[in-house]
Amino acid sequence: MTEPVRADLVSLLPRLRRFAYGLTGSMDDGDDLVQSACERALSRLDQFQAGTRLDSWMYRIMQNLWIDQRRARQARPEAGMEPVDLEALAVGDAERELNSRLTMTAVQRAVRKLPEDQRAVLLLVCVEGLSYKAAAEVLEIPLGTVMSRLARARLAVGRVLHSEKQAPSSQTKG
Amino acid sequence: MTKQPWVESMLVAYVDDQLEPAQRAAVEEIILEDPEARAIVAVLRGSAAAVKTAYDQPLREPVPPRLLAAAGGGESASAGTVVPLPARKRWLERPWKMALAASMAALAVGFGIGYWQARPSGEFRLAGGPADETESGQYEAALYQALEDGSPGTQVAYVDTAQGRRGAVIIVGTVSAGVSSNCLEFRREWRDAGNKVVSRGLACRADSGEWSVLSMPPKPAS
Repeated sequence: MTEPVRADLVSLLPRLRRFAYGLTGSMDDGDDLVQSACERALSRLDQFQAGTRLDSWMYRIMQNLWIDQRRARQARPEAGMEPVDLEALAVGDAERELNSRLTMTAVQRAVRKLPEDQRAVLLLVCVEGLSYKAAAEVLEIPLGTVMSRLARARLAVGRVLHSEKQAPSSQTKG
Repeated sequence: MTKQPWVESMLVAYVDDQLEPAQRAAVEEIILEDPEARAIVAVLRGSAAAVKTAYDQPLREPVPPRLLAAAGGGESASAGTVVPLPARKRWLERPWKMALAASMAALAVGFGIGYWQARPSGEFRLAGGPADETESGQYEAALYQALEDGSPGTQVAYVDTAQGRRGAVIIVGTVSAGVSSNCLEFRREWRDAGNKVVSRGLACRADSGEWSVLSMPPKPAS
């Protein structure tokens, strides 16, 4: 059983990296998390139930590792906690060219500011494309909790997007 | 936008099409009557797409070798390195007489193919040349030639004179969307005592032109 699992794990890597990027907010930290998760998974292959989804199992391992790391590092200030100053970023002639990058940056900042539990739900459903039921199983929370966390996270991100769209025009006219 | 939490939950499930028909009808009614609910729906729709786009960078980049190693192997993977492979050029530049005089093992090293060899026990080990009697210079030369061509379906046959075996390397294709386009999946088929044996592998090329090969243990073809 172990060899097919390893091969599947290799093919899952791009998606695991994406999930880790979302969780940590950094490509480097994300890759460290993926590496730790792969090592943990391979050392506990006996705990993987054949016939269940390997991706879900990996997402759960990653989320748990990340929570552990965050607890250990709690003294450190969070990178995502700086205030979002989109107006300042959006001023200038290059604003149109910058627009998509700005949107991306704004979204990433908004996601990083979310509470840990909301962020995981958001990433699993909106980025990884899991159903609510699959996300509930990964995070071991009820379906209703998935829905409420997802709604709050989406509204928080949506508000940032909304204000970001308004910011350039109000600034350039002024 | 400060609806009751349960309303927001229903609205997000509506946007994601995760409601039962009866619930869906009820939510549609709320949306028709309530402009605030309509505004929330618009925000929920926009945010999902934006979040997805914001994190697609890892899908457009090759997977770093250290992660391929971590996913593929046990002990060697924890070292976090993939065997560095000598570039092909180095061998080609050698005078052909030297290459001819070289032993089979040296030839294999000269071709610059190192690989991860998976043991049937599930443990992996790193090898810089033939890992055991099943890895011949002829196989490695065929593998290298097939990888250099790289197009799906490419098939390079080889005859392992030492083992008296015939086999072939077949390029299956580039690895599923998202992994570096520099990675190819290949299949190796050979006959062992009349039985057809198949093994799968993954080869990734670094910018320097070197190939790293991860091969899975062989299985008898059914």
